[in-house]
Amino acid sequence: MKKRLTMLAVCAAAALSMGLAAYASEDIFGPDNGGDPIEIWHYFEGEADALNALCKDYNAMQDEIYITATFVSREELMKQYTIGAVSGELPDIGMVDSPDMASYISLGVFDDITDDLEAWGELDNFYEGPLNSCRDSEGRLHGLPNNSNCLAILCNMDMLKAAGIEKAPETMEEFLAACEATSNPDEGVYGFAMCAVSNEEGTFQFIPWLYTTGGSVGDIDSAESIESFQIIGDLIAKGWMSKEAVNWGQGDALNAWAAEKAAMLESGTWQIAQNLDDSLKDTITWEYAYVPMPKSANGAQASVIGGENFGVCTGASHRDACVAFLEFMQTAENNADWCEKAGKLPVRGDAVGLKDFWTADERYAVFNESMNFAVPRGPHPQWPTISEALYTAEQAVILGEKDAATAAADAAAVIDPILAETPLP
Amino acid sequence: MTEKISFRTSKEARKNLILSIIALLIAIVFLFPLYWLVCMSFKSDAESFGKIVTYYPHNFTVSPWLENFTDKDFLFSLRNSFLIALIAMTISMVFGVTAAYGMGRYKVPGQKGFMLSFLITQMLPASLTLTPMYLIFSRLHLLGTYLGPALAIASGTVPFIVVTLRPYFKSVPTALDDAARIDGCNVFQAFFKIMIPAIKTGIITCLVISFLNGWNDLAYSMTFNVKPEMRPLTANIYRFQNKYGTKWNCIMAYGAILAMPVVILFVFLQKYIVGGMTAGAVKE
Amino acid sequence: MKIATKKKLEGYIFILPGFIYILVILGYPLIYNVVLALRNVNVKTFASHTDVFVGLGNFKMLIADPTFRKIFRNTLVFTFGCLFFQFTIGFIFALFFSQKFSLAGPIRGLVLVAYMMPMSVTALLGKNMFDVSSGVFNDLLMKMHLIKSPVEWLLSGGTAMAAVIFMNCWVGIPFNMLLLTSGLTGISQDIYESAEVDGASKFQKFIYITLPLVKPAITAVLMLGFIYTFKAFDLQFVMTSGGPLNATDVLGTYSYQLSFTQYEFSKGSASAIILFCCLFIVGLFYLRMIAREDD
Repeated sequence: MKKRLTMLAVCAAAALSMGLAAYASEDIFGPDNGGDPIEIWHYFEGEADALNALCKDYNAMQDEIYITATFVSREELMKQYTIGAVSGELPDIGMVDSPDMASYISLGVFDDITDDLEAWGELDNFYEGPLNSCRDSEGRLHGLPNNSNCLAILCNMDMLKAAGIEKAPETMEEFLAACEATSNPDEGVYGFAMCAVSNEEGTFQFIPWLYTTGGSVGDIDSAESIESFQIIGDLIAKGWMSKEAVNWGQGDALNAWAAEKAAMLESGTWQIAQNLDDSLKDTITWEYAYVPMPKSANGAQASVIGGENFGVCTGASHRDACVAFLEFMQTAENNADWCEKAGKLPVRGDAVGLKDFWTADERYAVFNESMNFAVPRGPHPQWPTISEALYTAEQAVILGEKDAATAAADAAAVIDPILAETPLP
Repeated sequence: MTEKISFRTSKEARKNLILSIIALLIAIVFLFPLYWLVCMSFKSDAESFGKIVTYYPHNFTVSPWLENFTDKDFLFSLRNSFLIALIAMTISMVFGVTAAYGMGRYKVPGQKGFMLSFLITQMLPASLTLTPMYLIFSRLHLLGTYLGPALAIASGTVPFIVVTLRPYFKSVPTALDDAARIDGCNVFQAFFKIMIPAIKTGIITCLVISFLNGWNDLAYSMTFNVKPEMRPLTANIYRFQNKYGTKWNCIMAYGAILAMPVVILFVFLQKYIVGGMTAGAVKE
Repeated sequence: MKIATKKKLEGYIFILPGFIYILVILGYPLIYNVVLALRNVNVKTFASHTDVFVGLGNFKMLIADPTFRKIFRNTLVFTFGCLFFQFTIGFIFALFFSQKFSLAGPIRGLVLVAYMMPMSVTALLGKNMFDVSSGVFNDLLMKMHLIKSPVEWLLSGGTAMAAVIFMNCWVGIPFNMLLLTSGLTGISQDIYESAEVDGASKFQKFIYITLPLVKPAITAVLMLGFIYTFKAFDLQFVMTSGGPLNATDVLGTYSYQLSFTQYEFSKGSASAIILFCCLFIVGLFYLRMIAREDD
């Protein structure tokens, strides 16, 4: 017994000493510049290297602050901000998903930096949609948008062609016809896959359908809104989309498409650089194409704006230096560089002209064009509750628990009182 | 590991065979999820979310394992997991075993109150204790240390130890510590030299469980330690569930890696955890 | 000093350190949540400090809310479902493996490995195995011709709950077995032998000797099992996110959601307090039981 315990202790000690080397932050963020430490929290995964490089550059440029960036997974980061709002223990600079920003502003997580940014004099170059997601109800700015993205339809052209469809669908009619032609539910093959999971991702993917039919969040039980729920419900009822969408995150839906379980996918901008050209490069052996979200019969078309924002947290040390870093991060050049590395769309108009891949690469061109009709979510401090009502209604329709009208009415019962108190902008 | 069993009759030998076969069947059914975990961890990305379910890795690959092992923070995480679990275990045992002894061997006024407190304090769900505990640790400057999560984890283990060990302490004959007292041992000597060895099985069960509670903890360690060099292995769980989709093979390899040290530890201590099945075999 | 007083003092020396530690670490969170539950702190009132005392308002709102009632029902179904299966099977395993045969030790050890997995990994494993199209359970059942088409496990309420209970039992059975085995170990073989001499049948030995002697272990294991399953969180959070449509949401996940994704801090605390009160009542019941055993 004693011998064994000793052995265990030795093993444990060996394991411990393995990890005892100093933590190598200098390699990542550059040599110590003597500045005070500043911490950024983010949930960038594929983009982390680009962010770290940006910090390294900035650390070499000045010596007032020394910036390090820490990855915290998305779920965890949201929890940290919420607890931080109560305890005051926040990073100096924080990243947040754009629709969540209004809630955190309301909880006092991000500082008002309007005056500093106005003094910077470059705000006019930013697109309205992304910039508005950084504003509170009085229009004060609490951060800067970092990137934009939106949704479009990704088609497996080989599957479409095998079903006798030569051209990627552009209208709703063509889209539904393509769904019908490519579906074979008995074999586990469906025409279309999307994410309808019970979190913000589910709402994000539903919004384009809602606005394509002429519906809106503010009028969620209108005939047009009900029609959008009906379209989703029909996709399921006719066997053109798998019910499993309710358990799929956007990455899982992509994996289903990549496993040829679906011919078409509602896909995001970032998936080009991070998946199609990277993690799935060897998996995809077929021809594929992007097309914008389908046009409805009356010509209406919609997508949804996604993206991340950065803000300076309340109580940050060196607040002004932190704002200066945000400004550095979002110069036209840096924004363009960043978006090229991360495969995203810029947030300022003067960045677009600096690179040509947004127009030259026909895949990105589809997203670039879709931004013209992409709608924002919120900003609204109670967006999480609104969002929950939306994805719950969608799930109820998908799972056949409610018909479209009932689901819409139930969503309205939650959303309307909230909007009556604080309307959407 | 197993005690030698000799069979006097062929009837006993047959019974042994039948029981062993049943046990094997139980093991196959029960361990299938574990087999699945290991099997998935050696599949390629495409195979792990493919249309066809394969029962062994057709495209055998170790890259999911490498992806975990080559993570630049892996060694830090491993060390952190060990330290957090060891500290949590120590705190749990120190406070838990003594309290269990006090509750089991002494009749003191307010005993019911103590017992109730031990029971109810572990009843708040972890999600709700996170914020107030965070406030305490922030005040005590324990954020970003190992002690913070360890204290939080142990607060759930101490009541567990009290509840499980109390009956053990009760079952030890009073004659045993009376004899010790007569031999001139004081209370603490009697506690360490007589009582603890007398309930060795229970003590080791509690040691293992309190270590496991620390090793497997996710919520506390992640919430109270944001720095990558302070986070335990469990904190990697969310990394394989994101924009890339659920990377089943990586998640499964991660699960296997997490389970491995514990399984090794368990194999070493198994005899003491579930050993001594018959009264005669308790003597070691 | 009187011997009785000295004895009491000794008792306190052993009990108080643990008690005070628990009181500090967990007493504050309890008070914190009670205070929060009686006010209306949420995303609108938090930063401006405009929250007011609302008494039992949050509780009334929750109890009137059909979603909350559904979740309360789910919690009961989950808890009693898990307790029933994991206790029964755990006990059978404990008894089975307490017999003398060659593989008893090693296989009991192997079964215990399931208990060592972190709940989050178990939950992910469950999510994968119960998947409709690529899950191994559906594939196995189809190959065995027990089902004709895939079961939509995690896509409908009843089967999703069954799947969650199944995964919890996978962990719970070894846990029950471990604690009950420890209890069985304490029984002296002599008692059985003398009973055999008296001509007791196997069944009689179980009812009249085994059960009464492991009763303290049984109450302990049921009590602990109740607490851990009633406040379950990780399993549902990772495996189903409480879905589909709240079908597997339990009080633990629901209060988390209220506090951390809806920023309804007070309502979240109130639902946690309700959870706590249920456990409190069970705790009192347990106390009475062990008090009777003590006499």
